[in-house]
Amino acid sequence: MNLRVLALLLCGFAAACATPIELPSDFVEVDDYAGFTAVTADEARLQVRELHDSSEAALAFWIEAVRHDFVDQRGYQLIDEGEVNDRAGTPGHWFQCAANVGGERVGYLLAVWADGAFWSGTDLFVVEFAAREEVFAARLQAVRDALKTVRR
Amino acid sequence: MRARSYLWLILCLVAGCSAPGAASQPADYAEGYAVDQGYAMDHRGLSGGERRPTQEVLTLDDVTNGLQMNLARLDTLAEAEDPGAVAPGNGAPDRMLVYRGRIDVEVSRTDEASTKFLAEVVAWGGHLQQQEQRAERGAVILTVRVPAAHFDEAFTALREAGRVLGESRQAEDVTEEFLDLGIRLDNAIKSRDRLLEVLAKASKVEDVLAVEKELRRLTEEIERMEGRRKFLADRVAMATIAATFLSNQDAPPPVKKRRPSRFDWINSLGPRRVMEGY
Repeated sequence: MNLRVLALLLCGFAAACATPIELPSDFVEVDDYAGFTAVTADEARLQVRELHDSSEAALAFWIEAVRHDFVDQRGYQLIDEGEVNDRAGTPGHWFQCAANVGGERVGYLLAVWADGAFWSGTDLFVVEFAAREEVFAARLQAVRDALKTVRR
Repeated sequence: MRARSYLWLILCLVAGCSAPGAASQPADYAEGYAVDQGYAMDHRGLSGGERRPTQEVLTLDDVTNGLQMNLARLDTLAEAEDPGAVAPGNGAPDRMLVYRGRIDVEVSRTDEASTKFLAEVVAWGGHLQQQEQRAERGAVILTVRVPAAHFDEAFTALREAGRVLGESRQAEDVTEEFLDLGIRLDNAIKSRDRLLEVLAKASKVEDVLAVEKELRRLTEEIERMEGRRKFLADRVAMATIAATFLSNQDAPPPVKKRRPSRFDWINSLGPRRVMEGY
């Protein structure tokens, strides 16, 4: 009996470890080659990816690089931004933007964490959330809360 | 009226002295009293015709006739001093004015305003001469020709189209040039007619060649003068207006051509990829 309980607990633990973020309610994980992806019935999409850049730079540098690209190059409207710590307490940064996709106004949230080392470049952990503007607004707070549960 | 009295006074003086150049005249009257200043006008002289130094003795009849013509001329000029008489289309027959104008108007929709104005121009019997568009403030620049009678009306319509930023108008008096051309044209035609008569009577080859050469020169001159007169007549009949329509709306932000980030991972971010990521 004790062994069964222990096995179940281990399975549960393993499953929990496999999810990089605790999904807000109404999100369902789907298969996507690009990374961990979850969607809602009203087509909000959340994606978590691990990326790499050969340049070694601190988070502050990447924040500037992303802001420059989003605002100055792509013309996104930067609505808000701030810091967020993941589950382990590692500081990251999030951007909330508005943009036009296919003639439709959409909301976009990006959270990024960076771990750099001079011999290996930078490992980046990004969470992206995008949806039509009204759907995005309705789910934004839940997603922002979920960022604190990111497990890298 | 004062001028008329003045003229009669001079008539008496001339009749009494009959000496050319004896009396001095106000500068304004120089043309009308050319006889007194040692110049005899031919029968077209009061309209700005050729003057020749007086060689022959003038008779009293000559002077009287000339002064009567001057009086008629002064009456006409007095009428022209009435501002209404110089307005385009009021038909002051002895003044030929070429009207030109330029106006910059700020409107909400440059395409609509320019199209509307152009329709009015066509309705007045005018036409478009040139159209230009510029990206800056959606500028539409129209150069139109309108009958001179509608010159004021056209400016009124343009002022009502929006806010006037600048305006200029000018009237160039080409009367003298036009009349002078007419006189020189008459003379040239008469000379040509005389040369044709000479040509008909000429028997020597060298005479024929010389007359034909002069005929060619005269014909070219006549054609040139006729062309110039037609040009002036057209400029008088149709005023030219350059109207610039500028948008009062803030210019839309320029469309940026995105330069990709030098960091590939940043290029892989964005709502489009997330939303179309299936």
